[in-house]
Amino acid sequence: MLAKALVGGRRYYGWIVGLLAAIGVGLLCYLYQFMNGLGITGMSRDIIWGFYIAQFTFLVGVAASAVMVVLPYYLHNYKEFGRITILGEFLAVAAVTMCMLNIFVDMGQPLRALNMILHPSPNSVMFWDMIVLAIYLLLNLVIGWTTLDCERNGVPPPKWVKPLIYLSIPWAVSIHTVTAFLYCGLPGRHYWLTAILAPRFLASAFASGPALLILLCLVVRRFSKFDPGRRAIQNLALIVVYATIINVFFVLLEFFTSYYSGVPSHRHGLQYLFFGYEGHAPLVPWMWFAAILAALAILILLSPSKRQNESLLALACGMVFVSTWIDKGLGLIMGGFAVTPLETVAEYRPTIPEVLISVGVYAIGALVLTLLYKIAISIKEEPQAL
Amino acid sequence: MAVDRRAFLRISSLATVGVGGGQWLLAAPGRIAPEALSPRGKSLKAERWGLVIDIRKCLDPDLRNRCVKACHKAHNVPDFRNKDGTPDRKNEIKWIWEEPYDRVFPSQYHEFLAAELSHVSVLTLCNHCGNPPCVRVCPTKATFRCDDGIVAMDSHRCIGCRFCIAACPYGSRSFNWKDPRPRIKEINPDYPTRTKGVVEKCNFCSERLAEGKLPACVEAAGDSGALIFGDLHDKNSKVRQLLNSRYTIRRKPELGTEPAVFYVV
Amino acid sequence: MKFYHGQYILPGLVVFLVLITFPMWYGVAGSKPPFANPVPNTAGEKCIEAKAYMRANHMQMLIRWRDEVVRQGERTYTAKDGKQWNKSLTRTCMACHGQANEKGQSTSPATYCEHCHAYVGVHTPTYCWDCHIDPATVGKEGK
Repeated sequence: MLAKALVGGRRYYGWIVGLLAAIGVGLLCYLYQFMNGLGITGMSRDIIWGFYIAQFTFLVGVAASAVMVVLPYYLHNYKEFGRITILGEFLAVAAVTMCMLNIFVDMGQPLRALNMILHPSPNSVMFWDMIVLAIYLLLNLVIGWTTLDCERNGVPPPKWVKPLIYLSIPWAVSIHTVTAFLYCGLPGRHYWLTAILAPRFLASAFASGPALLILLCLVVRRFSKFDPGRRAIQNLALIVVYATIINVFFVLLEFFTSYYSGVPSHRHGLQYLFFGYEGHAPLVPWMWFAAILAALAILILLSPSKRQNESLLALACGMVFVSTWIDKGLGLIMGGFAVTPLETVAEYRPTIPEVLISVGVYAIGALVLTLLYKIAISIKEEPQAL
Repeated sequence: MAVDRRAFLRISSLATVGVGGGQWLLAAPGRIAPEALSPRGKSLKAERWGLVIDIRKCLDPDLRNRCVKACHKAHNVPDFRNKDGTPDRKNEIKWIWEEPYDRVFPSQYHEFLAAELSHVSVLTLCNHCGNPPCVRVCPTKATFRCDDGIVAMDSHRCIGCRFCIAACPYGSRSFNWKDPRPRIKEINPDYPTRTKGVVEKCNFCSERLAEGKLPACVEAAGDSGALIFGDLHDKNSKVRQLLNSRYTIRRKPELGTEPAVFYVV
Repeated sequence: MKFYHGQYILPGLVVFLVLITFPMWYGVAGSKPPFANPVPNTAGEKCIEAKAYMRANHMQMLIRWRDEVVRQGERTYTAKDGKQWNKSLTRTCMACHGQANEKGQSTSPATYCEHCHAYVGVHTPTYCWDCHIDPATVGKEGK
């Protein structure tokens, strides 16, 4: 099946070469970081996680969203999603790969990464995050590959795949809950110290992931002979809009608790992000931009006529994706770190090498996605035995 | 004998796992029989080390500066400065330093605070908590709590993930964003440096305690009584006497971290 | 069976073989044979254990010392002959192996340990002297 990834036209290879170039640039920047230390990024003594961890957190959500196609199809026999479960699973593989790479480039001593395995620390949420992400990656890879292979050969999948698929459904929820636990168990970071952080993560995951999946389905339909199906895309759009509404609702809930209670430490994170704190307001335009994008996207996606217009749908999905990328990426990180434990305010701006390394990681994810999708689509394009 | 492909793959992968697994067992370091380890003669020992800082005895900026310099010199802490001499807030590393009162005790500060306190500078450092969140989150146990209460750093094991810094509610930890060596003015040959990519913080001078000496900051404070160090579990220690006779506060006690650094206000 | 695309595969294989064996031909071309005896310790003092024992076990010993000192606070080593030593790379080992000898030759770890370590590719600066102090360099800024 791998050979299918090697067969392609000029456009395909042009895209691959472009990705390889981006990866090459990212790699060179990473070598620069490896030799000189993480000081080449914009991170500082007060803002110790930045762009890399922001991408990691956001992408765990995208990875978890595969469950939104797997659950309806395998648990409730919703046949429309049968054509695209493989696309969801392979998107999860690419997303988890990017997550792990983002963690790796963020480590101060990456050559010691195996210390997490040599000295297991069940007290640490990070230990569990490593485990659940690795298993989730394996699950999706094995499930996707096996079902695709069987589809290609015109045979039903082997019996052992079913329990793995059933496992992947709560496992998807667990990877994002555990990632939320990285944040919501830290006693000194009050923007994150809330039980609703995990539900917020899940809601924004189920908004951003399917939004990206819709965009990918439209791209697949445009560039190949495989049509994921109009109804499948429309149903995904409903999932996106309901998840976005719930996500916005959760943010509004945070506003209430923070402001009505009047407790300063509860308020500082939101205040810094949306209104500025003690004169520091670099993220205020970004957060309101994200809020407006989400609101507009909801308006588009709630109206059936607009939703069924696939150009508008694509626009709305892009808006949801960007809005959650801001809110769950740097918005999340800065909300926790910008107002320091000593109640000063710290600033952060990613540097160019830092962004290029991140772009390189995204390019690796895009490459993985391209290769896997090429295989899947080639097989689905073949006339089936029946 | 004919071996089909499947059987061959099965046998060779089992063999590889066997050889690999065997190597891993054999290559584990530290398998020589340990020689007898005799206890140290003159080291200072405690059940739980604690520090009391008398804020009103630290009003002299030279005294505070001496404490900071003594610590940073003894431990090869680099001095990151901008070109104009101001601290480089991005890369700076500090184990003990001074901060205004309202930043050290934000929930204790109010606008009607006694004038002498509202502008005072307070020495702040790692609190060596009894319930340390940094230890809880470390994925490699590179930071861990010793039997004598000190929260220690194993710089050999640290992978530089900075989760401990995120967990610390006091901002006591620093990360080496760059190679620290060029920024160490005068290397103390009796203590190592760190390298880029690892976290560091105050260690209550465990290496000095092992030689019967008090922590560097406490020694630098001299006879002023500004810094008193001792065993919190020893009813007769100076720290306990001070804690018994004066009202003391700790930083953010409501978080449940159980700090071992107390402040006489 | 026909061998397709041979004009790409064969040169590609050659390039791959050249690249994958880079450490071997690059290293061989550059380095001298090892075990030119490093300058022995100064002042005629004995090492904490016998030479053969140290040659076989010094790395395991250092790793054990590292964990015992840092993680358990056990700083005293009792050698086989009963003598007690401070478990310290810089202050014990390098006290003898890290000084200049009478001829003025530096027996700093950069040369003493590196005699063998450089050849086997486990460069001690990266794993040791980035943090631990090389006494021969004290007084100079940085390394």
